[in-house]
Amino acid sequence: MFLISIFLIPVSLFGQVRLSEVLYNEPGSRIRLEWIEFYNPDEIAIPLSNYRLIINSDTVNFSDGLRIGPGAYTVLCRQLLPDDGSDSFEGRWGDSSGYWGDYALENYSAIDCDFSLPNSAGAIILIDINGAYADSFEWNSEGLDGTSFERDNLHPLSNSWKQSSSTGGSTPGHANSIPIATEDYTISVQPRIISIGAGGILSIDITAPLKTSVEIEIFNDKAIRKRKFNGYFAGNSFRFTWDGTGDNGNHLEPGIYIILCIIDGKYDNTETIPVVISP
Amino acid sequence: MKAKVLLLFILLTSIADADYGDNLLWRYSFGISDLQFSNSPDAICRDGYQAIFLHTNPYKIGPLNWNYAAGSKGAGRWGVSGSFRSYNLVDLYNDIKISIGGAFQADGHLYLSLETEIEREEFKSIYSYNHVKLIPQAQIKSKSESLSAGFSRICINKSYSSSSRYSMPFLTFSTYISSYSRFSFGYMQLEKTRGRWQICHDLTISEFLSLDLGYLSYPELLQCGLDFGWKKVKFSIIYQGIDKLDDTIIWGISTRK
Repeated sequence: MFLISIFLIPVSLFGQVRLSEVLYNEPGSRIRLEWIEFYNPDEIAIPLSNYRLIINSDTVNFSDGLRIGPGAYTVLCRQLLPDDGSDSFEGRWGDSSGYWGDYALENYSAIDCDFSLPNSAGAIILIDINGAYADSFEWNSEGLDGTSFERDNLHPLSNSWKQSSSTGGSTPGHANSIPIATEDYTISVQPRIISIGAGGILSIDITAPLKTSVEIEIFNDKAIRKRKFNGYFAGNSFRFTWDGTGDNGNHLEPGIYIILCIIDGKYDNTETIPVVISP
Repeated sequence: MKAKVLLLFILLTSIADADYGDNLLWRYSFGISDLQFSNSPDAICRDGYQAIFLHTNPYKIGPLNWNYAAGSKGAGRWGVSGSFRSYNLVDLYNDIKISIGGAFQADGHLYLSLETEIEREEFKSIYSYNHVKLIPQAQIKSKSESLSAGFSRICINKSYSSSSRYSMPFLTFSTYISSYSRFSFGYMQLEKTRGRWQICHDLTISEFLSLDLGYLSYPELLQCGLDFGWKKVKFSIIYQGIDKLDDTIIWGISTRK
């Protein structure tokens, strides 16, 4: 802890790689599934070799050429690929092919690195190449088995960490699961009834914090999904317009439809809005 | 004779449409309906009367209401039935259906029914459309098994242009595994290229309590229904769980004499 207090000197956090998620208590009795996730909140790529990582008393240096793209994640894995059938990050969070990057969910950078994270208490400190403090995470309890700790993605510059609320227990390579609060977003649908014969268009307007993910699904009243849209907020507001067509581009049957808006990937943050299509 | 009638129904190609209520009423559409109210032709013909009222807010959407009341009176070889259904989204949509129908026992094992349905759809009280539909059904029933085939809503008129109104045949089969356990499955065409499979298991736990568990394939839906009997009245609570949308809880009361 003394080591951490030395490094806790306020410096600008903009334009720096951040620690964003850590799994130190692997599921069950496994010991090779630990990982540390970095996030680049900046709009330009940042060389990871500009940093060093101090894990307890060990120092990890990154090789030249490793870069984290703007808004991208990189995961440092204790065992990226299986070694003679051993547990591996790729086997648990990838498609178990024995290769990294050959599957849709393996669309982020993952690096193999020899390190170990204790379950009971520990600290990770990120310093830049000049030795200046960049970021840190410390813990003094085991937490939930197989569940990571995530930085509060609503306030990325804060030092607030919570256990992942993802159903999978963690979100390596992807936005953290800590849900934004209901009061942090608004959803408005106007008008609530459109006529496809008159070329009516319905607007779904959402305001939410920057880079919040939004998923919109439109179901008919028999709960069969007819339209899906998802994306990220480039700004603080987002508008999706709907002309009463399905995913295939055809106009849907007149009747009641249900718009489901999922904010930040969390079903706690959903709004269900019934609308009507008239002939 | 039986085969010809069934073939006639299966080959019949007309225009029809599925209804939200099909999601809710499917547990009442299987043949061999000793456990609860049923819309099957043999149940309509059965001596005595039966009636039901159901209410729900689909997917727990408060402004969305669905109410259904139906009754039938049978005299052994024939029976008459009627129903009323309202489905509305407050201030935006109102859909009322009234149906009358009859069923008769064509011979020892064959039952036929025909229901006429009149529907009025109102969109924000500005546009309104009337639809007239027929629901024919044939059923072969033995003591412990039942096979039904028919069409859900053959549209007599097309009130507005619609690209996906076509024949919606359905087929259901039920069999008793034991005197207190019934297994049923069915298929209903929902869209031009897709249909729904449904499987249901009814269990009579006691004279006062019965349970059913069911699964629908499109969309995937799990259902659990509990019927509590008190004298001639049965109270039902039916739970439907579906991915992404909120659950639906249907409240019902039915009677049979």
